[in-house]
Amino acid sequence: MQIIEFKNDPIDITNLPKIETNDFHKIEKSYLKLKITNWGIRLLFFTGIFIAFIFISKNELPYYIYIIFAAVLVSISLFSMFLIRKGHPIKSYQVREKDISYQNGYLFYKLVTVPFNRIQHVEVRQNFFEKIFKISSIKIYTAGGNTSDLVIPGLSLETANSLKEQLTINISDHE
Amino acid sequence: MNNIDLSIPSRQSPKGILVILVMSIKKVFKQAWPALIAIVFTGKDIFNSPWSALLFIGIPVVLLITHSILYYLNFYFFIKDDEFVIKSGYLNKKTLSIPQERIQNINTKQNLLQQLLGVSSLELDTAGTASHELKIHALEHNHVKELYDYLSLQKEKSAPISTDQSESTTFIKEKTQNNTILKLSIPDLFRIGISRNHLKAGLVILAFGWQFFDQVTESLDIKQDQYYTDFQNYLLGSDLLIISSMLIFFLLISIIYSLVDTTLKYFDLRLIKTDHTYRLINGLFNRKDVLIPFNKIQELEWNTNPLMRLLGLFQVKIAQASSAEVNIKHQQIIPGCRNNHIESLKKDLFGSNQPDQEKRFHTDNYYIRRLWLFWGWVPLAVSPVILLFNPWLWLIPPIWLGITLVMAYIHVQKRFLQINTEQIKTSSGTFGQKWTQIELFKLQNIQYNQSIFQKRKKLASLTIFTASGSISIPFIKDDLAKELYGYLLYKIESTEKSWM
Repeated sequence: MQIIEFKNDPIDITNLPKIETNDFHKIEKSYLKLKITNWGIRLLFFTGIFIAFIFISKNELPYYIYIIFAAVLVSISLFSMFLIRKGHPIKSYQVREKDISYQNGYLFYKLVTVPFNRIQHVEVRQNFFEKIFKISSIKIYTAGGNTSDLVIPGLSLETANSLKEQLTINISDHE
Repeated sequence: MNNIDLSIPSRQSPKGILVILVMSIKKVFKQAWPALIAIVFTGKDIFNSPWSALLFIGIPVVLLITHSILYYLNFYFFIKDDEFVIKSGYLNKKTLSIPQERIQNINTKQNLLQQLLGVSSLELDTAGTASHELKIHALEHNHVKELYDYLSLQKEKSAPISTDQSESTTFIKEKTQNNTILKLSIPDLFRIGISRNHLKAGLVILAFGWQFFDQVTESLDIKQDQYYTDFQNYLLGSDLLIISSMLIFFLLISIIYSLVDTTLKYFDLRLIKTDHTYRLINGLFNRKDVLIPFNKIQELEWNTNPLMRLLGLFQVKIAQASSAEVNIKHQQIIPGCRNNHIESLKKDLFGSNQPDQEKRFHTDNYYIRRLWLFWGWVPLAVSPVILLFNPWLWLIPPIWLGITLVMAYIHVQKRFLQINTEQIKTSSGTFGQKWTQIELFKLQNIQYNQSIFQKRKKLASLTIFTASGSISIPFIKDDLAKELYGYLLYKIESTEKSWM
């Protein structure tokens, strides 16, 4: 489908390199484990609050309120687990000659591509949980502000560092 | 031409002491005014003895004056080794040096006091967040000119785009290089003020008034509740006439506020074009003088509302590259433009190859249903109380749904994009309309979003980022989104041009 009537150079858009979203590199499985661990911690936390709530209100409230709260807690947890499991296989990235892309999201799919000649700088990060699971993430800074910066999580330290090297070389190529 | 040697550390004008003093007083007042007012009202005994009054007022004043003098004496600036250096501070000594290439803009400002004293403040804009520190508070005009000329000369030398590098152009020339594009007169200001969004002004006044009321009553420890209940009873007991006259009064206040605000901000506005730069001068008590080089401009936006349309007016916003947090300072607003001004600005920035004649790609009609849901149905679901009382009120929901449906339809009619090989232009709005035009090589990156609901309808949304913000293109056909995605990436990646 040609979308544009050009005045100058006619370019056939259908021959431009397309992004093959099936060809992306998946991120590490340990990231899924990290997500599930976080989920578990949150569940424990809220269950704790719920139990404390029961003790504090000491059967003053009608019993069905507790059932409703418990039901809400359980359904949110189940739904959240569902999203985590469904979302993980989608998280993947691809480095091409001139750009790097990352996709994620099950309910709300998102694909971002940052061209090499627009990268400001690259950072490898590892937070507390990532250290435990031996993974890290890279953050690609752009001039577009916080919402346009790209974070690729779930990479082994080796991959992250080599990606950072690769990107940094590419940035200086384009300077 | 170098009467002043810029490499020798110089102080600012001695009048700066007064400027800094007034500035410090303002700062103190801004933070302490509720306490001050409270003390004045309740602490009358302080002023019984002349000595305590003297101490109470005298000590802070002496401190402020000392601070201003010390600050002035310890403030130096100079240019050395292609770096602009500012040394300041008497307790905490600070040295700020910035390489000349990092200086993006040189702006001057004059508040009322500075205008009276005949000095200006000079501000250096960089892409970083430290730019508010690169400020000199009081410079005599010849000094400003020297700095302006010198720094602009340096910028011209390093600017990649300007083809005419043989002439050393200075940016304050009185000759034919300057071209005044727009000049606002008092009637213009009146038209602009009248056609502004009064509702917004009114809400601002309300919010401010509320805050003021809150702060004062808290400091004075007055019982607010009594006032609230009295006001409530008054409202409930009033008839339609009183309520409507209150509304009209409220509207009048908003209009007057808009008029005053417009006059103060945009008094004697001039937009001047010099080579590859715009110069924008405006303001009454705070006079601002800003340089906007073409190559720093990331996007051009112009908008209108129904009132403005009646008068044939547009408001232009020029966005430059800003640091991580979108700085309002980096957005210049030029009201009171007419169609020919818009065309002239577009011609300057985008040349003759523009997408105005291209096909319009609209947001899909499915979006109407989405908007209708959020504007019409959701507010209704949240406020069922209305239905309970007067049967006449049962008319409200269908009328509300009808109105919001029409609004949603109009919004989607105005939501489209046009694109050619050089630029992309988007349009949006419901009652008013806003257009944005960006050169493709200035884009930073692109995001493609598709929710599960959009996937079923074969729709997707795009967000395109520039160094000054982002533009959302919601709910377009998936095929179009994917092709646009690929094409915009191609344009960014194949350009040799610098986006800044």
